[in-house]
Amino acid sequence: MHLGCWAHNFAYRHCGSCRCYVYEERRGWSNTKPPGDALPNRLLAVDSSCRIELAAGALWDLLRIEYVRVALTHLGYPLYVLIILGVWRIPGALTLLAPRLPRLKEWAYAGAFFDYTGAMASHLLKGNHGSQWIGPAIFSGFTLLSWGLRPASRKLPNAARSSEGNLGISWAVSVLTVAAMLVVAFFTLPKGAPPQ
Amino acid sequence: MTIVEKKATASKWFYWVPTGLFLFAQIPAGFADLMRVKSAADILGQLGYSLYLLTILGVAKLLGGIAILYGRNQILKEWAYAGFTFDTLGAAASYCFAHDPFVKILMPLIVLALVLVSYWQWRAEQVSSALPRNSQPPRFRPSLGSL
Repeated sequence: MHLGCWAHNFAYRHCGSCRCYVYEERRGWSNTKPPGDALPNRLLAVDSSCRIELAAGALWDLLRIEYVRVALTHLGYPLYVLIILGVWRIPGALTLLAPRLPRLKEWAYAGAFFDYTGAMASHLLKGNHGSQWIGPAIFSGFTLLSWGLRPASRKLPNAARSSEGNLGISWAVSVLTVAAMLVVAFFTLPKGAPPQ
Repeated sequence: MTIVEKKATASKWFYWVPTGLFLFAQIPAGFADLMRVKSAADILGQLGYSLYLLTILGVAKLLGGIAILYGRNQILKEWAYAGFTFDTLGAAASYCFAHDPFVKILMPLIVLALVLVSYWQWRAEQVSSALPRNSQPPRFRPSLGSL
């Protein structure tokens, strides 16, 4: 049984780096990726960083650590926004990691993009320094990159019928990855207020 | 008029009435936000937000309205529906957290219902327009696969 490529959450058959032989109904046994169905390796970092940010951000928000409290008060938002954003971000990260669900992924990408561009616009309209809005700006760029580069098996409209690797294992890996991100984020929480 | 044509006309009405209603609420609201009309600014102030949020929301509402009315780009339309859903849910949650009366919480939820009916009809239209002309359209049944 082939689980799919490790770099793509065990869901895809080929990512161009694994080179393992897999069987597909149409192509038979092969160790090369079908055209247009995988992310280039060096873009994986971009792709995964925006999911890590979502999960870590969710934990920061839900724990209401001082860092985000100070930043939010400075921007002039009420603190309950942290609950709204934090609650949205965890299912968002999980949706982006999970196999299939192309339409839900579309909504998650939309939400992440609105989130980052909203943060960037808030810093800009507040007249903050470039160092403060450059972070959200970079992440909104990453979101667009990750969205534009998603493999064909995760795009509307053909994804619903695409046969990916083992769905159960791929779901389990997604959930465990989000849990691991949350644990790592918990142990690396920033202390104190952000630099102004 | 055959039954198929009647059904097609009915589904058009079911799309355009909710769409028109919520766009009729959202597009003027977008303009009002951008002009920083006093009533909008007051509501935002009571909820504890800064005034510049009006600019962000106003631009977002207008762009979303254009994307839905234009309608050719399906992904853009999908994102616009997502945006209006997040916007109305966020508004309802904000009223909730600010301990406002139930009527105020209900208003964005009514708009949300219109958005979702419009979205549902649009998806059904997508399904039936993929079929050959004059064939009996199947009912749009949402399932895990349609996510």
